[in-house]
Amino acid sequence: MKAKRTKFIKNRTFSIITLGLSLILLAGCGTGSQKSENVLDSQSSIPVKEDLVLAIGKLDGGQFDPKKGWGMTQIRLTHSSLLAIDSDLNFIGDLATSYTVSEDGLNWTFPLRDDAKFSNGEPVTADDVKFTYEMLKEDGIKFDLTFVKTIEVTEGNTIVITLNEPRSTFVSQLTEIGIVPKDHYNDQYSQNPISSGPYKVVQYDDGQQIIMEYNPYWYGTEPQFKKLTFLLLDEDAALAAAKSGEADIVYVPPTFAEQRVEGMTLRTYESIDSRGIMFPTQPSGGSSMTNGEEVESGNDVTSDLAIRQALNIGLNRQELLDIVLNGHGQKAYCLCDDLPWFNEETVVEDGNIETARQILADGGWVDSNQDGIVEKDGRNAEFDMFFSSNDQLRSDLSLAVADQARDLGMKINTIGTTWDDIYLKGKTAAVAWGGGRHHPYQLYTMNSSKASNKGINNMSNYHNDKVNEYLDLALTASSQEEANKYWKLAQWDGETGFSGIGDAPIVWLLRVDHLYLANDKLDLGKQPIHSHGHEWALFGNITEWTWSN
Amino acid sequence: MTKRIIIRLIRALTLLFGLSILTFTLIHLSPMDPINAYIGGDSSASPEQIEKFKEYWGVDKSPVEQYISWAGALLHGDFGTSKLFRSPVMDIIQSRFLTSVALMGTAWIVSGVIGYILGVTAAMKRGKLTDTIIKWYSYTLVSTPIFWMGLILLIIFAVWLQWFPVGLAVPIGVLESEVRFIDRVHHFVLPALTLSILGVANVAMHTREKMIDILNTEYIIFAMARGESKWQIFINHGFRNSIIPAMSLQFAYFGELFGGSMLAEQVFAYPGLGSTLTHAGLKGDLPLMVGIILISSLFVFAGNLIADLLNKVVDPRMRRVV
Repeated sequence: MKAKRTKFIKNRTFSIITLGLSLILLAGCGTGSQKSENVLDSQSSIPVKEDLVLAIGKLDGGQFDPKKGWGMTQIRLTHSSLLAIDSDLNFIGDLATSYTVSEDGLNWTFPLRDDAKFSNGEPVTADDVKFTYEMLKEDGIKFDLTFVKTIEVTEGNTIVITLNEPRSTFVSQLTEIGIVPKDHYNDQYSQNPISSGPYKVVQYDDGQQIIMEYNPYWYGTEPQFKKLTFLLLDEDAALAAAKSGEADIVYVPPTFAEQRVEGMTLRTYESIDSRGIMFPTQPSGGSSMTNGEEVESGNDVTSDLAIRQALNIGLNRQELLDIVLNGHGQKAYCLCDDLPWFNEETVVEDGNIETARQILADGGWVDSNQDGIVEKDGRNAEFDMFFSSNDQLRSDLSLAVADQARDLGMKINTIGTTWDDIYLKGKTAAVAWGGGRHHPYQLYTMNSSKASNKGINNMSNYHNDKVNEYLDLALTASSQEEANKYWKLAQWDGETGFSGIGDAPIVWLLRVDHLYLANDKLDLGKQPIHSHGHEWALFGNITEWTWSN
Repeated sequence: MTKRIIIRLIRALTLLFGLSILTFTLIHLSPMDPINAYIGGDSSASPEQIEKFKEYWGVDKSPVEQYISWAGALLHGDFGTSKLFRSPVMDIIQSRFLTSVALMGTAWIVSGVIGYILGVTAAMKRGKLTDTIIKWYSYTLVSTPIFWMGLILLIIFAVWLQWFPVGLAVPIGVLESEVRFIDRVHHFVLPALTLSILGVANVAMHTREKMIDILNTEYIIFAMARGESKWQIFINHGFRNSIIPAMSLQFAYFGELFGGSMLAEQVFAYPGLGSTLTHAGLKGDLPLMVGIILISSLFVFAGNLIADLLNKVVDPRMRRVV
């Protein structure tokens, strides 16, 4: 009896193993043949390629809802906005056929086009625009619209937006706010976004892929590609997808730039995506607000102007570029290099150790005890520098900067941590900082003392009355030309300014080139200089993309 | 038996209660700020707006108040609403649970069976070449990080051989309604294999040790003296004595399996509970995180319970232990 039961167990175990193994084998065989079918299909398919597979990074939040942060450069694919930016950075009409601003800069008038429709076929009306702007103004987290007084719909499908005070940067927000349908917008909008851009979202598998199809109601140029599939893969897996021929475009970090993939070429696009070091400009012991929390602020070393200016001229930007980005980038001197509001006088001949030491010496920083570190009033030129530890670029940059600073007689202690930690302690130490937009509003939020204590604005607690004045004049200018004039003066007016040769609250060091591996046959059209936020900057001109066989 | 089940249930409830308190406490103590995580570094919300937002998310209240309101809702079966996905936590967990269970379950069975067979083989062939190979194989695997293993498999089977896709649970660009079962299996193989391979080593090495102990006992020597063949010795004496530690180990491996699946899911962009938990953790989505932790610990608890019951079926001596 006993023996029989053991045997039964043995048999059963055996059959379970066999079953398991054969299942695995079967799975392997079955799918193997299916793969080859697919290959055959694509080879004999029609000559015009109509779908693209893109692995351009993880989609981080936003999820097609402007209230959740779907904006900046992302919206072009799915949403339309009042205005758009062309590849020469001119503001052109999108939903609005044109726009006029009153003399005093307070009334903005937008006649809307009549042929715009949402992906469900319903027309885009002035009411939808009004609804979107009012909803975002009310929410106020992702878009700052506090300066907007009223939004009115007038006759002839026209929107009139009245401001409390002139705001020259409003024009750029008009390109960043995607219009949502009043009748279909709710908290679940992300799950079924209805919008009026060239593509509509047909499926969003969080953490896997986004499938978009051409929106037949799109009023603009019909794109060649009728279907886009975005793979939400990590960098390693994305490169693997390119190598196995599953993706047509893959975003690559500079460390992967030397990778060769058959049939694909590296595309390099200059960007305004800048990196630098933010310094507390006030002595220690103060306190201020960051993202609604009261935090300590100030640093006795970095608050000394000589230290910041010495770094601006003493750090070797080309060497940093080579170390940090394998040369895939540009030098940066301000947050807006080469843009229409950039003041070219702020460009310095960098890597100049002699001048840097002179600046330090003039500021009272001398190495009297011969330990290689300069001192002033018995205090060593030593300070902490935070960087986000999960950002390879910022880690490398911080370490390289600390290394170079040693030659200038400064000791920088680099500390990698989380952004949460940086937001809490960052106002007492240097921080590896980043930014860069197609519009100058960040110049204001990073440098005006009036912007301090809101969000993470003006982390340096920088205050200069003259700069404030220029920034205010720039912000409230009623024409772009006038605004640009003041933006430039705020950087450097010959005596003072927030740029590196001025007060240098942030020393900008480099701009990151945006790199993609793309199929040889894919033409990405004329790309404008890219802005901060690697992933989506590419799609501004999606309708110009072509595939040649 | 009823008494035992009731005791177990009480244990399960206290475990969940303790875990939820621990999770709340840890999140509260962590430097992570869910508001920062949501707002990101890119906006300029004013302090008043942040206050409004905190109120909306309910994080303006003290941790104790937050816990009480959360636990109160849970008693009515409501796990709360995920802040990131803006949908009920239970819905999210339901949609992810099956994928994860399939992944972990397969890996668990495959690694257990193969590990056990390898362990027994090594012990029976102790000192011979087979033993050496299995030992080295296991040592190498034990010291291998799971994401690295995943990447290696990815390079070999997806990039070079192109037998399997590089990631995701469904084919690229295919709508949910058009995905066939075989496609899912095709995408399932690599992550499952990654998870399985690493589980093998533990079981194999422990089984080997246990089996060697068994082979050194007097009753085995006696059996050999009786002239039983190696196979008979294994069937009659070895199997029962070695399967229990192997099984206990395999069930204890549940937690590790969950951790491993998190990494494997990340590498292959496979949408299971693990990758959702990571996402929730990084973004400070408390309700979603606690929800997944509770469900997964319940899962681990159930596993241990089954292990105990199975032990009792296989080994009558264990039946006396509560």
